[in-house]
Amino acid sequence: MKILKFTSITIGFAVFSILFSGAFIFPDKVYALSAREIMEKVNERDDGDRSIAEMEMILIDKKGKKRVRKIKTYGREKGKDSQSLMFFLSPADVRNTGFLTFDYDESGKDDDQWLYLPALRKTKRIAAGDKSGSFMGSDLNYSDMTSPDLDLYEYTLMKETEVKGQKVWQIKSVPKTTAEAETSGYSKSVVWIRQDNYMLSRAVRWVHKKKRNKYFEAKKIEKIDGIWIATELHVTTKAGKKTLHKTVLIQRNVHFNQDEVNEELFTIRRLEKGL
Amino acid sequence: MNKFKVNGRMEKHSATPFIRALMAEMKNLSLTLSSLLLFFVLLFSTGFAELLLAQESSEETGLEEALSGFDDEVSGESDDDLMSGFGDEDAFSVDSTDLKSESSEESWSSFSGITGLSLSYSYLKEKPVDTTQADWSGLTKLRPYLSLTWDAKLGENWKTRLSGKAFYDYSFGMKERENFSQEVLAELEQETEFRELYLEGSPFGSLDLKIGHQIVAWGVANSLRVVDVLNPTDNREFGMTDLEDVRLPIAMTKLDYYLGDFKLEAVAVHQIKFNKVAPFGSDFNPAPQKFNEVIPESNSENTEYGLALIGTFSGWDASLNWAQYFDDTAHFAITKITIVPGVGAVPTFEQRHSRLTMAGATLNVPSGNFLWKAEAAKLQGMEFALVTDKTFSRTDVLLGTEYSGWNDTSLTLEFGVQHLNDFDVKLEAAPDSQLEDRIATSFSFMQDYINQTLHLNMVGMMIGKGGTDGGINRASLEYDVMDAFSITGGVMLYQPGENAYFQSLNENDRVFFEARYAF
Repeated sequence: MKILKFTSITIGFAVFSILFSGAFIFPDKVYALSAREIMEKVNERDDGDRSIAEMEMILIDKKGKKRVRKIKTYGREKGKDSQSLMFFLSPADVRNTGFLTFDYDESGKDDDQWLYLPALRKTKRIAAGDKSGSFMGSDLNYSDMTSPDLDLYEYTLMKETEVKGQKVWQIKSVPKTTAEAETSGYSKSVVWIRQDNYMLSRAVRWVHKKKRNKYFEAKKIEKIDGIWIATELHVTTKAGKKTLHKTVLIQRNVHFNQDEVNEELFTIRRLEKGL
Repeated sequence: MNKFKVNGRMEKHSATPFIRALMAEMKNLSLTLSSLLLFFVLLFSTGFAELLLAQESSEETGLEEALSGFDDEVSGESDDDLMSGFGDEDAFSVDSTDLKSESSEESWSSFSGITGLSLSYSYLKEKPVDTTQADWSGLTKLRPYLSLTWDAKLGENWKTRLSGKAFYDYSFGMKERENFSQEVLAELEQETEFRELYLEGSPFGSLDLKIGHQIVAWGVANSLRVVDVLNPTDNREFGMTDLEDVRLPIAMTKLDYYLGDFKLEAVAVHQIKFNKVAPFGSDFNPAPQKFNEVIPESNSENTEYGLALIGTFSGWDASLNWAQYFDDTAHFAITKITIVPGVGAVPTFEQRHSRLTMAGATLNVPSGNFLWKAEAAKLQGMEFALVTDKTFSRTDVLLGTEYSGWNDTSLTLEFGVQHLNDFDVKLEAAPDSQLEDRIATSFSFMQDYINQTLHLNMVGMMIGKGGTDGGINRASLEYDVMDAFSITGGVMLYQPGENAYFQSLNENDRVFFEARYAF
């Protein structure tokens, strides 16, 4: 029944828009914005199109035991919607599993998601409503990987400050409804947004109904093909001061505007063919 | 007309309801449900498991306390101070080796595989008093296994696969081996077989071709099969076979043509191969005698065909399926009747496979945390022993849903009905042992813990209204010791009901263990 573990993968992995990427926007445009306007800028920024990347996740538990997951990802913008295709490269028991996601911008419209299970030789549609589950055992859940529906949150600009010498806005985000808190898995977040490029620099998130927090930090940010992207991200789950688990995400061989990343790639046909 | 080859000698026997029930249930069912299972599901879904695993659940951490988790207040801090805000314990550090970039170059060919040890222990059965009888008590499986797969890319558009699997079961040698039937030893003691061997590619544009031993899985259901009729299945140990091993690859030619949101799939099945069933004499085959089985030859005249139009749309998927094939489950036929003085008329039976025509459809609709699914099919051409002047049709309907609204949890419920049209009450008698309506409900509950290193898996199926005919329940825990290496332990419970086959499995309850390494 091992393959059925993947039936609970309800990933909206479209572009890592919040976590990994951002556009360069000139500083003179960033003054006098409300928290909501800043978050709109974050959502609207150019986070690249027709991308290819290799992602590695290092999962570290309390005993220091490390597990490694490797994934090849393809991303594409289609109007306001985004599409992604992922193939799992390791560990060996999930190799060649594929995941196709159509992430819709329209408020209230569920993502379309299909999972190809090579062990069953079968493509399976996945219900995409809940995004609070862990992604492949990491400290991230699926809501961490999709752009939030801004209408579902209240944003408060706490202060302007600095992180790593960069000016940032410190913004508190609270879901308007309990349902959204349950769907996203978080009851509150504080994010630090860089003022020069609208990149997320740090975040701390309160896990819904649990005495836990998740700490996100973009450790390495690079400009690739004109697009700012976090190529190393650390996510730590803590209970108070005690660290419970940590995930290090690394993106390698990132390329944008690739001709091979076209409409034909984001199809069930390609999903089933594999790499 | 189809050409048949007779497999073995014709024998005089009267069929028992046992074997008939076995054949019927094997085809249609995989797993079952019980109130015990539901109890556990409710227990786990309400968060009890998290308590067990010491996962905290209480009010939120305060804002200031949480922000201090970075070990710095953001304003005015230097880079070093900020970095030290993530100063986890040493156990959580990553070094340069961990972060070292690796080449992404892919080889044109690759080997992969799985090896492991599978063990099961039958704790209800007692040793037979007659020491010449096969002993199915205690250790019933001690099976190291190995499966290997070789994949190769042949240029841009073509690739090939060769895979095989082998096992040897030492449990027979640890008992009085000669007491087991030849069929059991041949089927269950050891096996080496090729599984997939195919070439696939795109000859041009929107057309894909795949030729060779392969699996074609139709339908949207997990455990009950309605339109998924092309590949035979491995039912030798009822309910014990993992889903990934249950379909058996056979020689086919498959053409896929893509047009927009649609795929038209045409399949020709060149190899006539039926379900693997529990061999005569095994603890999953209660039949007191063997029957000859007529296996159609694998020739052009007996080629099976399948056609599917599969649509994938925003918010729903659907398919239309059609197939002409031999029923994987055999039916009985009376080949002659002998008058035995003092006894009366004694029929001679053999097992045959009807040529069926299936027309069906499937539908998948996600809605929030639910995935709704439906399958329906009409099968024509069913033959039976006791009504020989006509063939029968059957209507199969399945409705199901999957719920994924709980953290790291997946819950699936499927309900299926098989209705035998124009039912004749004569069919209720042995050897046909048919019912006008067969009902099955399957259920599965999966939950992950400790960052998905521990997996709870509970599956069940009940047969008949309210499970009156019987059922099975399987619960297991799998722990990922390290990447690609896991150990699993669990228990399988068989529920006897009014169905004779499930009554025969009443003492087959067992615990099982598996260590598995993928590479």
